[in-house]
Amino acid sequence: MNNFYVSPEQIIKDKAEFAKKGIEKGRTTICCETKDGILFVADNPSKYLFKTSEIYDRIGFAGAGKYSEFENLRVTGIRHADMKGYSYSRNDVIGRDIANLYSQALGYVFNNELKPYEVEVVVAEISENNEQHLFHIGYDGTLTDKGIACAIGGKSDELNEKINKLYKKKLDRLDALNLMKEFLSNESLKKILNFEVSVLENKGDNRYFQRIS
Amino acid sequence: MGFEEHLNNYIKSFMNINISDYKISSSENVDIKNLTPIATTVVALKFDSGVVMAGDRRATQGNYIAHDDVVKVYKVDDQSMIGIAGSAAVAFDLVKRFKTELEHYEKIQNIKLSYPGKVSFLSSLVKSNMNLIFQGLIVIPIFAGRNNSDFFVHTYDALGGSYLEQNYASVGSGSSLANVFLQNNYKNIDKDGAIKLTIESLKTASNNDSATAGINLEKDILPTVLICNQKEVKEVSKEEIKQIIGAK
Repeated sequence: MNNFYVSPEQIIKDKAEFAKKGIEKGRTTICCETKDGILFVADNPSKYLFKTSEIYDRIGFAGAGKYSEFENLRVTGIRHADMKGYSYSRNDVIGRDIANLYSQALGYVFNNELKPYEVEVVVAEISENNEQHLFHIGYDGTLTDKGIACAIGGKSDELNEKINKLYKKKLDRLDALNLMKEFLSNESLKKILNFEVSVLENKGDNRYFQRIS
Repeated sequence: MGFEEHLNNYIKSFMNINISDYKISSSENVDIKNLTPIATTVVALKFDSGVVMAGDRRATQGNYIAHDDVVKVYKVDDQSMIGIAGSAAVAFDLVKRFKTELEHYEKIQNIKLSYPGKVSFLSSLVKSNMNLIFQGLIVIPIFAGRNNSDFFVHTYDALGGSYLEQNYASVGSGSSLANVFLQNNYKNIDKDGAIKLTIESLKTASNNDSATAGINLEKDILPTVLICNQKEVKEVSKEEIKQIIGAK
């Protein structure tokens, strides 16, 4: 039997360190608001295993860290959104709700499971009155409403500082894309082979999410 | 675990309602069919560069015309469309579920469900209504769309069997009339000819089937017409229909 006393502070510190390390090993994804909509740019060598995804009509998702774990969250989010949209109406599915779901799920896993999820995710939304929102959910379930841009995964702390300094005003989609690609390239030690780019934009129908590359 | 399984619990809550428990006390034999709106003729036919589907707008409750602006033909995604005949309430739910499930599949798998996949999935949805069939609440869909560059029309029976149709098909109470008309008049035609032919077949059906409406220019109610071509599925506007059939 395990009879050693470990203080709660220590447990949480250990878990947080473990999760952070796991996330740092991965590559970075940037989500930013633009004049045209929300832009996702991910350093992703695979063309089939995506890091960004559609959740619902006006809600997008970006994940970083362990693929299997954020994929799990992605699927849960889509299921929740579709269920809600089916029972009530399409307009009742909102980003805050999905963000809360992720926050609760990650918080629960962090506190109650032996191994926390090594992921962080962003829920992006263009609301009904065309406001753009970026919700960031950390590995411990911390939910924050980010400014106009946010990087997750890899060495995102330093990158976030840089983005906050240099991306203060929304640009056009193309300008923003080039800037974000530059950010990612400068940050990465290796040459980036493939950028996964997707957007959340009004193209006329009710589903805003679109993959660009 | 699929969306289907999650829905099952939800669906069960109302699918298992035994409608015979809901008899109106004063009359002994209430025919449930007369209490719920029934939707009617839908035709689909292939033309040289796509497939067209059209449905009339009437819903009846027994002898009473309950609604004259019901939509029975729906776009499912940008390569398929569905038409419904039968008990309206069940049919609308079938369409809603079908659309939700396909969108759900696409989002989870990052790829659209294939055309044969959709046909077989619709079969299972129709089959899941089995318990309602015995209460008289039948729903029969008609499904058409594009698979790569080929166009198809599929019809169903009440038990979920799916049938690939050669060139045209119709469902609903006026379907036999529409079918005879199409048998006599169908030939390889272009888009406008196809729209004209579907509208005429609906008109023919409405002449003898009381549950099918024709063209109501007075109220400006025209049949719903959807076109599926190589690019998209879109609704044909009222103006275009009027122009094609030569109405003012």
